[in-house]
Amino acid sequence: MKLSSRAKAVSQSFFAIIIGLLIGSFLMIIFGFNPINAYYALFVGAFGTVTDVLETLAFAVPLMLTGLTFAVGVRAGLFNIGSEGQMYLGALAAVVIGGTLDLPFGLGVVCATLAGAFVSLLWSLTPAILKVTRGVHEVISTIMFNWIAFWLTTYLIVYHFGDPTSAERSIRVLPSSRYLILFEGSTLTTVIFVAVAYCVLVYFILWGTKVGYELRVEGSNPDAGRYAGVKVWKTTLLAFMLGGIASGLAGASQIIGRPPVWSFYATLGNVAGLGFDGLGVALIGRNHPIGVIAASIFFGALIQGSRYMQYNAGVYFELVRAITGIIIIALSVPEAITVLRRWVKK
Amino acid sequence: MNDSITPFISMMSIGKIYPDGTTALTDVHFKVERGEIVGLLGENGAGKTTLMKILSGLLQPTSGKIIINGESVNFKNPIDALSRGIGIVHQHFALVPIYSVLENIILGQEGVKNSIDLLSSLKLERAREKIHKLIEITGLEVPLDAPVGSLSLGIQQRVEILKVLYRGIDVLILDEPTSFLTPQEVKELFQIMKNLKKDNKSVIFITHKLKEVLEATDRIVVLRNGSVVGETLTSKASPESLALMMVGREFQPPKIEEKGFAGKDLLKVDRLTVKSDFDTLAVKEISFDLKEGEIFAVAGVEGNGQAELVEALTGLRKAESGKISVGGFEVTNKNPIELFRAGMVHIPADRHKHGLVLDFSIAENSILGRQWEPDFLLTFSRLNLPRIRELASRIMKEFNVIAPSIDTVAKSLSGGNQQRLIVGRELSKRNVKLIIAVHPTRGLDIASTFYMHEVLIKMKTAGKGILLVSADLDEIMELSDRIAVIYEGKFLDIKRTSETTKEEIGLLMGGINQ
Ligand SMILES: Nc1ncnc2c1ncn2[C@@H]1O[C@H](COP(=O)(O)OP(=O)(O)OP(=O)(O)O)[C@@H](O)[C@H]1O
Ligand SMILES: [Mg+2]
Repeated sequence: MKLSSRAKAVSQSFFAIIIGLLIGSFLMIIFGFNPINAYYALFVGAFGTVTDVLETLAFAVPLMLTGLTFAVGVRAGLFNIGSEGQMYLGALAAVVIGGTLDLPFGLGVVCATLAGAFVSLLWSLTPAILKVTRGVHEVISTIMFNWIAFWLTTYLIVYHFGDPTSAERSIRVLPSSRYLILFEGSTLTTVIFVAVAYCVLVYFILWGTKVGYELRVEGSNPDAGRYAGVKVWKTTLLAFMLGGIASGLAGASQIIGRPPVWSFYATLGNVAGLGFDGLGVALIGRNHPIGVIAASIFFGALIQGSRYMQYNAGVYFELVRAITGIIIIALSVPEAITVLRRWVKK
Repeated sequence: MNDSITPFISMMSIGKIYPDGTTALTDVHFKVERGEIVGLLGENGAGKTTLMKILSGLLQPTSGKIIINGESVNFKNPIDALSRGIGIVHQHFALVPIYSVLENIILGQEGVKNSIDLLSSLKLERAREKIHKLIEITGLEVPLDAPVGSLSLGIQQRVEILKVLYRGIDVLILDEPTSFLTPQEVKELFQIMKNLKKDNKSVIFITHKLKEVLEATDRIVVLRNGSVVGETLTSKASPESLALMMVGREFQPPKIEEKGFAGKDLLKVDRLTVKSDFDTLAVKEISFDLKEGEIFAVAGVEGNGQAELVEALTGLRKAESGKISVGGFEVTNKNPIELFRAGMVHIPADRHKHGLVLDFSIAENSILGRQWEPDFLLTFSRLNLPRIRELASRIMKEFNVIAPSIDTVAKSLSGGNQQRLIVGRELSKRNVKLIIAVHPTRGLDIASTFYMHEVLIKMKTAGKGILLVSADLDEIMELSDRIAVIYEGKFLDIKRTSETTKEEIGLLMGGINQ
């Protein structure tokens, strides 16, 4: 039955994707495009050549991590939308360490990565502690922390870690702290292994350890959690920490694992929005770490393919965003109903 | 009964296969006449709930059809069924605890789509009038303005019934409505059913208690393994014939051994005071002790503090004052895990709220509350999955949990099988000393109830202490050594079972102390 309930989740996601694509094609017809051509272009753009596939995966890397942040939160019964801000700080820490410490190659990469993960984790702790000690709702605190992170990061890049030769971005990451490019001509680096490994690790923690079990009990039925002696502060903290690390890695991956810039734009342009896209990824991935990996590849394909679709079929990029939006709505309907029910019950 | 040729409602060759491949019903024929009370009997997992969910539009049958007044109908959802006059009150309620009784009754009603509409006082007043009338006809007394969360399960059930009746139905389906009612409440419910019958409404009544079905119904239908195996007029039925039909073989209730020996003090409760969710005192300075090898029963009408008492004992609720100790160690306000460590196990009253994670599999549920036990852990607190699966299989086998596999989600188990899973998990723990069993046989069929009683007696004989909270007076009289009657948060009296009668306990439960 576990299989079949999982199969149900997968089929629901597929169904939503198909609905999204269908409504998308109506939109295209309305705007005078040929949907078959457009989707063909989308597909070819995303998977047509090896380089396309690699680009698709490159787009998927940060999304699987920010998706994971949200997914772990939901599994613990939390609505942690702090990924965006945590990610800024992760990216910042990675550029600061990777751009200033000249270490031997392997060590440089490790230090910059760990710095990103660690700073983001610290950043995520405050909302967690506020929640545990004062009962502050995580939606409120994480939104506030996203804004604080935005301005703090912008300030630090502009005034303290700016590139003296070009004002619009930060110092560059030293070559010794950059992930290796997997194939010449693509922007996919070895950071993808870190991302996937982290998702798998989180999967093992949630389904294979005592704390992970407790976290899922708490998220699925808090009353049963009390009955089973689950300590809420523990599961809340764990969910925020696992999520914080994921977002930190996501931020770092875009700075030290994504050519060609190797630095952080003062507009935060190379990471902005990825945290929020994670919500959609988590939803399509059914809040399951492995599902999130698959969903992030789907999102990556949409982004990569839409570039090709735009100049081959003439369909605007915005339309692709609309399609993803519809897919997310189609998916959210059953999910939203259960969430609402739980809220009402409280 | 009605003599017309076409029955009022008839379900024709209904078959149901759940998406996971479980065949719950095959070729079931079932009819209901106007003004008739039909009893639906069957063991756990026989398909009673499934059949009634189909009749009330919650499930679609895989095959077969439903005919009302000679006209074939197709229910896509419960609203369709309600509009054809069929309403169900479930084994588990779906009320909104923070809303008042009145609001709960009219919520989801035409014109009342959301909480904003609830604010319209005109609508509320009109509804109030209509409900008052219903209460008058049926005798379903409820406090209309109290929040539902503050009411006992017995009263909540009345709210559920009113909620369904308010929609103007002809057929009321009650799925195991008596499992948590006191004898008095059961009597009242039967009266309500009779009143409905007088009003030319039909009632379908699901229960596991033969006595009840014989007392309250006109006709009885027996399901076994998803098929109808018997149908009889109640006047022609006997407990023996019904049991034979249900189980397919004859069987004997277990012999209950001599009782009345007891060892050392195991549980000591000293002037325990506990508050309710609404900040009133629910338990007022209760003191008692429970000895090894003793079954100590707490009888009482639901809502007199027994829930809070149990929650305080099991670490789910804070004790305001007083002391609790188990085996000489003080455990007041300890975390449930520490209580489990001290040898206490808890079969909770509400299996969906506390006892199970419905979205988890049987295997995952089999370590709920036991996830810390070293038996199930490897280094770094990793779960020992093979061990857990082994435990789950053992529980399924020993406690006869019927399901396709240990990976089946708890949600898809029948009510009785969910209970067996919980009981199995709790009683298969190591070094059990004290069992807090709240309605342990609720929802269990006759054979499982007997089995459960046997297990409890075995535990008692092995020197364990058992605190039995039950609404079933027969069960209490049969099993317990002593009975405490709880009334308005206090023990009115503690009696030796051998020195009292069911009638006396019944009176005490009503607050009458001669
Ligand atoms: N959602 C579901 N998915 C799969 N199987 C189910 C589901 N619900 C019930 N079943 C199975 O269908 C069968 C009949 O279940 P049902 O709940 O109708 O039994 P019941 O007669 O009401 O039993 P009980 O007395 O224990 O409540 C059982 O084998 C049960 O495991
Ligand atoms: Mg049932």
